[in-house]
Amino acid sequence: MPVILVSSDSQEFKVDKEVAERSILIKNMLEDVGESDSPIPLPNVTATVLTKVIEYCEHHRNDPVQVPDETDDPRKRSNDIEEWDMKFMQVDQEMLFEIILAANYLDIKPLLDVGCKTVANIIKGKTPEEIRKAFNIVNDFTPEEEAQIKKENEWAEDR
Amino acid sequence: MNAGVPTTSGLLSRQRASPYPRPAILASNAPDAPGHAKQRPRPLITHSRSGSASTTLTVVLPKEQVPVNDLVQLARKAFSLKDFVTAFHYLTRALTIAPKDINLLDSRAASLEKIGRLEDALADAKSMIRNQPQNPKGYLRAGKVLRLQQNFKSSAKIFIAGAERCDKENKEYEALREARVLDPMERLPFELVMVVFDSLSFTERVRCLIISKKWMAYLGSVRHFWHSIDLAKRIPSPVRTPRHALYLPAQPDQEPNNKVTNKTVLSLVKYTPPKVLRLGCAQQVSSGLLTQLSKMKRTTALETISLRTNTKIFEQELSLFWSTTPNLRCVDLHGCPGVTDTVVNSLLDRCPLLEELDISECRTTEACVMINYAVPLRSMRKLVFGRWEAPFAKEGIDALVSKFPNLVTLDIRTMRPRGIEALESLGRLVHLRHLFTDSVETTGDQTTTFVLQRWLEGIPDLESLQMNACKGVSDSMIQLIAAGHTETESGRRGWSHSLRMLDLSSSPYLTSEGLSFLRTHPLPSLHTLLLNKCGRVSEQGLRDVVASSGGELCRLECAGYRSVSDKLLMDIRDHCPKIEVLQLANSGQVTGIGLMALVNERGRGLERVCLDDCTTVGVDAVERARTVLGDSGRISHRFHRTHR
Repeated sequence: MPVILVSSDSQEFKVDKEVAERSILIKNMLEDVGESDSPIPLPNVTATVLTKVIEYCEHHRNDPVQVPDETDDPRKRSNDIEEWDMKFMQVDQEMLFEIILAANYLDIKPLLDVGCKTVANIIKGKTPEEIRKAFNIVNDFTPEEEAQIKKENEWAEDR
Repeated sequence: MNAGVPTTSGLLSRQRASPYPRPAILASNAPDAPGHAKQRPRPLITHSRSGSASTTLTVVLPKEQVPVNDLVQLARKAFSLKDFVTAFHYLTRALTIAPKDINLLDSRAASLEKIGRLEDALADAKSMIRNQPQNPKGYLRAGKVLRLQQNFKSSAKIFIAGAERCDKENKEYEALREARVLDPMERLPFELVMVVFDSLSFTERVRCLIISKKWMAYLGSVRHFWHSIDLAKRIPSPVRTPRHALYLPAQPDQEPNNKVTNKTVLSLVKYTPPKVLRLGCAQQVSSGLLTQLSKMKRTTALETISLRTNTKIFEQELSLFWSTTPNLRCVDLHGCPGVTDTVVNSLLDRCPLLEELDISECRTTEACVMINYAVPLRSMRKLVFGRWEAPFAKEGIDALVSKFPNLVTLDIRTMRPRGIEALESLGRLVHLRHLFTDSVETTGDQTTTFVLQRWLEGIPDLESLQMNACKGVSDSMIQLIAAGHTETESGRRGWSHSLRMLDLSSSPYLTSEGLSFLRTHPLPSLHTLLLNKCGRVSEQGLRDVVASSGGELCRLECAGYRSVSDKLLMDIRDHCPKIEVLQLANSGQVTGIGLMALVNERGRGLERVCLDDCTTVGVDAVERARTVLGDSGRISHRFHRTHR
């Protein structure tokens, strides 16, 4: 049964119910609304981002719903992004953040996880200068402050 | 000269005869006015004659004007000399001539930025956008100024608006697309930023402190990032221990960690009292750190502290330190000469929750357990203890057993007990699972057998037993371990049901017959077996062990046997489906055939095969085996000049 989603710029997307229900927000909405065919407005998601999100949900439509595991060690998780997801996330930074925010709004936990892990992977293994360049961050420390912090954290260079 | 502005740059004061006419009033005020100034009608000037540099000067120039290009040149020179104020004035003059020139506005906005007048710079940038809405320069400049004003949201909006409105052919467009705000700290809500940082390690988070003030402020505010301060070079964690190293006793972390000083630690504990403080072998840390930590009240939550081989921490500060750390559970002070009996007593008194203690190679003697041994510390689970120079008598071990009745792991490899008889009372440790000893002296195998019987009676489920280089280890010991001894009422079945790790390397009196006993009484749970260099063991014994008890075997070390050949490798292939690490150095008769047979069958699970000094294995066979294993396995085939 198709569900119609409407992005913030009034573009309509027709998706299967199963695909749309990967988003807990939409799932709850559909339960509330019942069998009506009215389109679901998503005022916080633009069309380009919604396309990407729908693409993800389509690919993962058959995944089992994950039970949140409280005892999961968050440090372990960063390594295991599957290949398709990794390719999916090879977008520019702007889109990456938009996808994460959309996944947060639509409550699609696996997509949110993948997005956050991708950001973490950008940070990992880079020198501070490289991180600043990747995120366009202005270094607002004075040279003296920076030198002092660097000296205090010398030990981190070796690891 | 511009009146009201102090001449800061040498450039202007050095100006002599200017070929261009200057306004008469200005020329007459200049101290080195050249004689070229012509008389002309008095120009209309409105300016304030205060001495401050922030005067705005509005000059209506007479008809003979300075060409814009020259003004721009002068402004550029001033810019390069970092005299932004003068540059600003030149550009203002130029702009009165050409008020809609976007490049002039851009340069002026740049100089205003540098002076610090961001509001005015923003006004200029906005004029740029008004004048040429298709040109990205305006948006770039406006966005940059907004960012400097810390107004990131507006900055992002302007960049996006610019990207939409500008024509894409312009080469500056790329710069516009690049210049958006992409700081995750700005774009994402704080819960998501926390998820991102949670998946980074402690070191990576520390590296992020220096990125920007906002990052530092955020990271500093999240307490749980700073609960565990891990500065050691070696990162041990149960998540990272590979399966084949699970039952090995802890490998000592000996690498000196000299970049860690008192200051380093103090700068990291300022966020929150830490629970874990692992400093590795930080040899530059001194006693002052302990005193400071106590003074700063950063010790109340401390549960784990690890500081090895440090000679600058002294007895007195250590003894006092424990009074501020009531919640301590794990203490690792291996190799610190400042740890004396007094320190240990103080620790055992003040920290009733202590579970793990490593004071090997410290300056301790039996006294530290004998004092107050009647008050047991029931929480103690793991003890690494002993110093070679201080032999331990039986009374000491008895006291130790009384003091720590619930020990699960006892590592006394660095201890020198006065003979194996001294260790008899270890049999009272009912919960003991792991026992590691090394080079225990003994008068004969009968005493050893006797002691082992005591242990078997008292310890029901031993999982790891290491008795390296003990002359008392004999064949009867294997029988006892595998089958127990039915002479006692308990009729114990030995440790065959529970034993996972057995290390009897360098046992000179162990023979193949003893090992062959395992054919009838195997050790089915055996995970790690270390039998290096037992002089009287031959290949047959090893084959019997492997065939009977290899089902769960993950790590097998039997180096130094001249008789080991391909037959053993075939047996490993047939009986050890879970094998991961094989140590076969100095094996006299292993060839490429056995190696290939093993690798073809078990290659997927193999992590490491060591064939150092195996002269009978050809280099080409090793290469072939390496290709079969691909990247996952590693075969070592080095040659040292060793003597056996």
